[in-house]
Amino acid sequence: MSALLEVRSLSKAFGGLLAVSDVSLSVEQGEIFGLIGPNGAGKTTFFNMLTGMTRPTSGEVLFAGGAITGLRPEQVARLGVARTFQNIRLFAGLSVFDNVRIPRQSRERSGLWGNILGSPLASREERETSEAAWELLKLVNLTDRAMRPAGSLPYGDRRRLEIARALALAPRLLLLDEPAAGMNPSEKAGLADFIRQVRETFDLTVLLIEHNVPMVMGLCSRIAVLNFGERIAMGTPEEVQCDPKVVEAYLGAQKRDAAAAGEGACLHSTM
Amino acid sequence: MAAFFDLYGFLCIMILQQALLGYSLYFPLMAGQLSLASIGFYSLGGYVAAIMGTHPAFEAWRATLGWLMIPLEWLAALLLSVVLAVAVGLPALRLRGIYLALATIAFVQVLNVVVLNMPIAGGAVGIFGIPQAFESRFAYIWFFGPLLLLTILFTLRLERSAAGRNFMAVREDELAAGAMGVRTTANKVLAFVIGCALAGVVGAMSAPFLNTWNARQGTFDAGVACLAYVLIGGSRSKWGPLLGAALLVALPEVLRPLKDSRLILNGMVLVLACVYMPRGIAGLFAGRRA
Ligand SMILES: Nc1ncnc2c1ncn2[C@@H]1O[C@H](COP(=O)(O)OP(=O)(O)OP(=O)(O)O)[C@@H](O)[C@H]1O
Ligand SMILES: [Mg+2]
Repeated sequence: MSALLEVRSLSKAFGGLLAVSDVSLSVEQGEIFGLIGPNGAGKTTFFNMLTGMTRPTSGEVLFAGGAITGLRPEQVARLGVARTFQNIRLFAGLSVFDNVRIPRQSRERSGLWGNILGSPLASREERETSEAAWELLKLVNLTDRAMRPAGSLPYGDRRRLEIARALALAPRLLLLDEPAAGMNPSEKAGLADFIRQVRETFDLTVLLIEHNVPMVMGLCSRIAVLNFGERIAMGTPEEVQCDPKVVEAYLGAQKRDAAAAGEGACLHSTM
Repeated sequence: MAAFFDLYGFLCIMILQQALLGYSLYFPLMAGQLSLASIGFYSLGGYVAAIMGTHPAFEAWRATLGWLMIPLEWLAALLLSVVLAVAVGLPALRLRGIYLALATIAFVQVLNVVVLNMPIAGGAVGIFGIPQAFESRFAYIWFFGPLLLLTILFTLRLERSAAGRNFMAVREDELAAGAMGVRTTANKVLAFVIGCALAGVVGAMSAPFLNTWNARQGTFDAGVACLAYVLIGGSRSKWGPLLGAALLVALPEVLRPLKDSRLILNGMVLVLACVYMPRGIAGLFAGRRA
């Protein structure tokens, strides 16, 4: 195995606040890597730096061996890094189908006039894009609502559509920012299975932000823990689970969990 | 029939011409960009045609090319508009929302001042006696009609193609569009340039139609009127600019018998339209279908 994503000493300061501080990690080809940490730990900021949405204060990001630090979001996306957003950002006014067609269009070579005049190349690409998008809609069971505006879907469907849209980029690396937020335990279990399945089918590497400790523990081969912007632990779920710093960060942050995990010095991992 | 054309012919042409200016703002709006620059390009296109049609320097051209001079004027206006639109669009489109609108208004004002100070453009009086392309005013339907038809066909194709979906992705969520591989800046500039190029050609067609051309063609008021066509007609529908122009150009004429009170009524119709038809006239039809 080789590292698909390598992050070296990445930092981001917002004024005086160090949102991400000197974080290094590497994600191996094909693994599901978890990124956890309490509220405000800097997880989303970390994703934003990987995807070109926030310029790092210092540090370096290597994807498939090449530096992607400082590239614009569309350049990073076109190299094969797709993401979802913590607060779902679909093209709400466009159809479900169009949401999944748009990312794939970045691979098309036909230009404006080819599109307008319907050149053979443009027609072929339009057909291929539509077919690929339809397959993805089948995967997330949204074909029956393909022509509805994306914003009209219920919450859970919007989450799934956002993952399908990210997959439409045919990425090598998929970044998921709290995909299970707002789901009940059975939906979370379903989502975990879905992520595993997607990783298999599309030969993906997944980097996952998740608050829900049991879900991350069950799904990820390795985990990094952020707290106040710093990487306080990294390793397999078992290693991280009983790391005193991690337990402290979580017990300090989540008083209610403290009672539940009261019996030992580990975070509980049952769903 | 002939009486109808005499009375309303000019009005019909005006509706087509103003609808075209509406479409020139519809394209940037499709990519979520609120621009008021079109009227500047309209003015510029008009000057290009007026100068090429009257200036002694082009005498030899006119003599050899004959009527071919007219499409050549359109082409010149088009090329100049594209070049200027790229130059203006690249920096201006970094701004968002109302700031972009303000920047484009500023551009129009600067352009006006520049033109007023260029001797070739005739200063404040402008350019007179631009040669007519047709004997009758109504015949100008052969200019604006086909152009409007082409513009609507273009819009129709655009909306159903990858290029149009890229524009709309930027409109819906620019950040997410970038994350999904859409070249946001290039798409915004492209949408802007399409609109400006159209406005430039409409200007070049309008110079002979209106016979004279001066800085009053490119005022702020006229620019806002173009935006009103799109908003009243429906900014999310390809028919919006046409419906809006038809209503707003015809309304003052229809209300003429009411004398002075027509202005009040005209204003009231606009206010009511904004309040009760947030998606414009076209939105009413779309709502009924759904
Ligand atoms: N654009 C910004 N400007 C200033 N401060 C910011 C900005 N974005 C994030 N922050 C701050 O940086 C810190 C990290 O935020 P971030 O959103 O990355 O945390 P997170 O780990 O994703 O938290 P959560 O679990 O709540 O999503 C927070 O203190 C936040 O207030
Ligand atoms: Mg976050």
